[in-house]
Amino acid sequence: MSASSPVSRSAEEVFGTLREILTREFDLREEEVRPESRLADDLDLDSIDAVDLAVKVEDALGFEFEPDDMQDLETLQDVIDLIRGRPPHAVPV
Amino acid sequence: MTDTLDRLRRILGTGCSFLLFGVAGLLMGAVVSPLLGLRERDPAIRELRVQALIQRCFAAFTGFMEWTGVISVSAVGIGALAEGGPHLLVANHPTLIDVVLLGALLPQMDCVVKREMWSNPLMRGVVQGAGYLPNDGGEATVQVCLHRLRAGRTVLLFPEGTRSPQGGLGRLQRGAAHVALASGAPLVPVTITCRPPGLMRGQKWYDVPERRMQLRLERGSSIPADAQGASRSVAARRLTRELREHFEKGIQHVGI
Repeated sequence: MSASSPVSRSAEEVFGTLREILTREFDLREEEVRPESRLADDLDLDSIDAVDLAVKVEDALGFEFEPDDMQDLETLQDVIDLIRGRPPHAVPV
Repeated sequence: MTDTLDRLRRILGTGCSFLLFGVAGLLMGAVVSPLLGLRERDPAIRELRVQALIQRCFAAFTGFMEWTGVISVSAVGIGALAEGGPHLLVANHPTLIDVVLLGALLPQMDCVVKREMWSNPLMRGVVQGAGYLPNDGGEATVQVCLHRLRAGRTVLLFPEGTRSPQGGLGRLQRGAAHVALASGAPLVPVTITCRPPGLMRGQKWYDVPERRMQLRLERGSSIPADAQGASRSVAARRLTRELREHFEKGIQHVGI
């Protein structure tokens, strides 16, 4: 089974995947996770969480973050835009 | 009149204490630590010797502040930490002198301190000589703490990362919890309280309270680090929440 390219996914689909990861892996409640949520201030994600989140996103969507990506991201919407705006390095087959 | 004289005496005592601290720090970093380095080539042994010397200096500093009537210190369960170990110590951080008070009681502790200390001319030599750890945050700090624990050394972290807001507790970073989860070592909490408040964030050193500061350091029950099948992010959040509740209870009990 192959994951479809993140580029081809709608913003809603990417957001849904992110919300699922954040509630399952980071103990966040669904209502806390919104596109406008700030990663550090609202979701309380630290640099270690950012690494873990990147790994989970790669597993789920086949999207590889660049080492410096997370530093420039402020909100979850920024993450969605990044994922949808860049072709994946490798899509799992 | 007596109150004014007492206040002046404590302002003078505080000023002299910090002056002595600065001079001792400079001497330690510029002379003593390098001399120890010449005599001992093994960096680990050298760091432990510097730390043992730091304990004596911190004890002298604390004794001087007590003698001048600036502070009085009571410690519960801290001395026993010198035996056994290594321990993963975590403390709240209400005052400027918390690390000094703890360091006066423990002959060995690898402190995680602000990176700025490495560019402070008074402290650079000491933090380098003692092998203290710069708080660069994230995985790098976790890994270096793990390395020290595995080498049998006690590590001290202030999870707030800076001094607490007056009368409360700042946001706790989860680095200490990650170290505990990765090493299996329990968190050993030390709750520090100060009544009346002094040397706190936003207070000048000469802004002494109306009476002598009563500082209390109390070791709490160890908090086991067990992920119980949860992801490391979830486990670190839960462990940090537990630590926060512990500190809050201790602060409310005594009043900060």
